[in-house]
Amino acid sequence: MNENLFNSFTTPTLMGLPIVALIIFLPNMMYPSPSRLINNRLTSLQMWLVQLILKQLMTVHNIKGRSWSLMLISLILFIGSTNLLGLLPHSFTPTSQLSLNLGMAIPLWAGTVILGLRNKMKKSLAHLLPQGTPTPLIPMLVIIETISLFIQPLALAVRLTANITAGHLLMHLTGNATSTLITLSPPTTPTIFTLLVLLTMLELTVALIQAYVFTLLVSLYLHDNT
Amino acid sequence: MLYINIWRKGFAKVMSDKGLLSKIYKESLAAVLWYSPSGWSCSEMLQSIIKNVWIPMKPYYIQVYWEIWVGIRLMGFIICKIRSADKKNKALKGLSPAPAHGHH
Repeated sequence: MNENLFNSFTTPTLMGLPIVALIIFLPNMMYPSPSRLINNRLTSLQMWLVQLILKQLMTVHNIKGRSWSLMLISLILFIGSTNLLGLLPHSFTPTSQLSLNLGMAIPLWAGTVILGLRNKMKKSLAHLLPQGTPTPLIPMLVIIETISLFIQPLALAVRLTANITAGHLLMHLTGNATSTLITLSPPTTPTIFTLLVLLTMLELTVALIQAYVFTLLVSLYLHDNT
Repeated sequence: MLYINIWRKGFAKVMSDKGLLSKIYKESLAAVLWYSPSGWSCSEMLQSIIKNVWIPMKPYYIQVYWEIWVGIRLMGFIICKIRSADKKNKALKGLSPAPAHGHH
């Protein structure tokens, strides 16, 4: 049973060839690109959703920050669609792998930090010391803020990985418990099944929320550095 | 694009007429050049990618995302370091002798 529990997190292969790249590019095929002035219903719905997310994310940014709109929209759509597709039975979720999440978090965080150091060095370095700090505490607080700065990409990646992995594991365990209890103790099955349904609804919400949180944090780091 | 197609077919025909290609090589070259899936060759796909992706996104890739490319290089450096440390660790484990079983 232990082996089966973590089988869904192993990178899938087809005849010995890794097909992770295909799985990562799969959500790209679900989004039609608008090619006309007035599009069909699906494309119009997609464009409305993108505009809603853009308004939420990019209102606080200046011109320099808004040049990252395409990147942030792509990020939230990719993470959201990958998380939702991973909720399908027997599917593989790329965002449950720490390697992928670190691969997204480190370049984006480093990009924001380098942007800030390059364009507004004083303002970026000023973030290492909060306003109103007592003078004796300044050295210690600068060290603490520097450590928290370097932990930001790790936190981004581990947060997403842990949420998705934990959710999938819980669903797997609850599903196993439901299928086992059907034969052993039928009266308790409806309770466990209700729990499974509620857990699935929670995981749907978590999938979207985690995508939003990841993108919002990157947007926040960008705002601090532009 | 039309000139490229004429050139491709002409090149293959000239090479096969001059007897410079063996029969097997001629047939495999024909399969690659003429019988491409859904009528698209590699050169046409590359031209489509350049026209639809690279040209509209060029200012983003070069100017806007410059810092992200630096971040990608930093991430590549970190991956390199982790892999080399893992290889050294495995080499050291292979070199060190296995502990004896009666050892508690």
